[in-house]
Amino acid sequence: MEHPVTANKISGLIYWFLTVAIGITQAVFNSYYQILPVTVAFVDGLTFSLVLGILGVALWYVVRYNDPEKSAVIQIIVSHFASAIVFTSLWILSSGIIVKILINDSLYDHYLGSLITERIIGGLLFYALLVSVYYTYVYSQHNQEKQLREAEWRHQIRKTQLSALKSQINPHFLFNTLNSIASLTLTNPEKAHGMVIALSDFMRYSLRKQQDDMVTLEVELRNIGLYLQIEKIRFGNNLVYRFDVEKECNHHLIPNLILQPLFENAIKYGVYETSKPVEIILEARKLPASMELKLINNFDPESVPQKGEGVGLANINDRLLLLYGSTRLLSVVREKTQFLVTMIIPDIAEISH
Amino acid sequence: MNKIKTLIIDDESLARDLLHHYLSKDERIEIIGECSNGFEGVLAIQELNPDLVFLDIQMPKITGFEMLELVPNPPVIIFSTAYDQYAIRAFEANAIDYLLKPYPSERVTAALNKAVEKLMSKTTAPEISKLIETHDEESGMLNRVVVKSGRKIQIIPVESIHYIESQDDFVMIYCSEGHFMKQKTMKFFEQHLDEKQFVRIHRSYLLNLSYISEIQQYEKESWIVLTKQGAKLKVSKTGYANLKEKLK
Repeated sequence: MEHPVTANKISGLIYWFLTVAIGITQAVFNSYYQILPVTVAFVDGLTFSLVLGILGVALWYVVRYNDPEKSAVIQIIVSHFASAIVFTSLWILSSGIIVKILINDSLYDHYLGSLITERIIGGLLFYALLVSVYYTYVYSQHNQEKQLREAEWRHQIRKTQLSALKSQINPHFLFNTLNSIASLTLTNPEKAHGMVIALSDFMRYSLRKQQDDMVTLEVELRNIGLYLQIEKIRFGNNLVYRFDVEKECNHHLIPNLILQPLFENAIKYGVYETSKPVEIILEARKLPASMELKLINNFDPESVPQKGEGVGLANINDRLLLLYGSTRLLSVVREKTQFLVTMIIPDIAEISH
Repeated sequence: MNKIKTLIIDDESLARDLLHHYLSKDERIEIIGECSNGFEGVLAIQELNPDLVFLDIQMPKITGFEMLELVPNPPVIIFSTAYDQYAIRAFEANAIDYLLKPYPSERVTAALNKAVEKLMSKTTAPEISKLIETHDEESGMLNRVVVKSGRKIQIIPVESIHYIESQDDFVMIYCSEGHFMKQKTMKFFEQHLDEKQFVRIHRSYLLNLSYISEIQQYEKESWIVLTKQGAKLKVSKTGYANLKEKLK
C-alpha cells in the first residue's frame, strides 16, 4: 500500500497546505496575544508546524507496522502509546533546537518555556488525529481490495458456470461414431479416413471452447457441418440438412457451441427416433440490433420421447441469460410434425468482467 | 451340431456391417436376418425363431429393452451398445453378455462362447426376464409403455392411459388407443407411474385422475368411479381414502 501523502498529488498538497496553515494560524495567534514580533512569531509557528508535518509523514510507517489484521489490539495500543511519547518529544526537542538557532532572544526563550505544556498536549492530539486518518485510509484501501477480489471471484464463478453450461461431447455420439469408423475401415477405408478427419476437427473445436467465448456464425456453422457430416455417414439419406444464412449474418458473433445442442436435439428426437428421413433447416436473418436464428426439423409424430427433453434447452436459456441478461431470447414451438426453435442474438454481448 | 441361427438388430447399417463381418468368420453361426429397428425385430424374432440375437439398445421408436418386453419367450440375447451406464449396471448380474461399441472380434468370440454354453444347457429364459426386471428398477419413471396386439406394436404415452386393471399375472391397459394386455405386475406400474397422477382405487384398478368424470357412493363402504369414457370402476374403502387424499 502506498503512502497516502505521496500516493497522489492532491492528497500531498492538502497535507502540506494544512501543515503550513497550522503554522500560520499559530503565528498570527502568537503575534496578537503573546505580543511577539511578527517575524519571530512566523519563524516559530512555521518551524514547529513543518517539523510536525515531516514527523507526521514518518508516522505512516508506525501505522503500517501496527496492522490491526496482523497484530493484537493490546500490542497496537501499547506501541502507539510509546510512539506518541517519542513523537511528541522528538517534535518539541528538534523544533526547539531549530528555533533556538534561528532566534536568539531571551524574551522568546521565556515564551518557548511557557508554552511547553500546550505543545505536549497539541502534539499528542495531532498524533491521535493523524493516526486515525491513517487507519481510516488503510481500512478503506483494504475494503476496496476486498471488493475487487470479490468481483474477480464472482467473474470466475460465472465463467465456471458458463463452461458447465456449454455442451459436452456426447459419449453416445462419440462411441457410435468410433464404431462406424471401425466398420468402415474394413469395408470402405477411404470413407473411414474422411470420418476420422471430420471427427478430429469437430472434437478439436469442442475442446478448445474454454478459450474463446464468442465466435462468428460462420465458424460455428462450419463446426456443426462437421457434426452433421459425421451423422450423415451413420444415417445416410435419413438425414438431410440445409443452412439458409443471409450474407451479413456470417460475421455476426454468437456464443460458441450455443447451436450445437439444438442440432443434437434435432438429431436425437428427429433422426434417432424414426426410420423416415428428417430434414433440419437453419435460417439466419439480420434484424435491427440483433440476429434471428431459426432451427426447424420435422419429427415422427408417432414417436414418444423416452426421456424428457428440455435439459439442453434450459442450458441454452441460462447461458443466454448470463451473457445478455435476458430470458426472452429463446423460444420453442412444437407443432404436430415440426419442431421450431427461434433464438435472438443481440448485436453486442454485454459480457461484464 | 446345427448352426446357431442368429439375428442382428441395430439401427445403424455400419454397425450391422461390422457385426456381420465378425460373425461370418465364425463357423458356428448362421446369420438369418438383420433388422434396423425394434418393430422389425419383434416380428423377425417371432417369424424366424432365432437361437441368438445381437441387440442394440438405443433404437428408433422402441429400445432394445422395450422390444424384449414384447417377445414372450426371448432367445439368447447379447446386447451391443455404445454407451449406457444403466444398462451396464443392469447387465452386471444377469446378462449373457454385453458388448461395448466399438468392440474387437475376440470380444464377439468370447460372447459367442458364452451363448453356446447357454444354448446347450437351455436355461436362458429366466435370466432374460430377470435382466428386464433389473432394468425396470433402474429406469425410474415411465414416460411411455410399449404394447402389442397381433402384429401391431404401439407406443402409449402414459398421459393417454385411462386406467390399468390387474388380471392374474398380467395387466390390461385401457387407453385412448384401445386396451392392451401387458406381461407386467400391478405393483410395477404403481411404482413407475407418477403417483400424483395415478391412484390405486381398488385391488384391481390403478386410475389416472385426469379421466375421472364422477364419483358415486354405491353402498355404505363402497363407491364407484365413472370415467370420462363411461367405464364404471369399483372403489374400495382404502381406495376411497387414497382418492380423497389425492383430490384434496
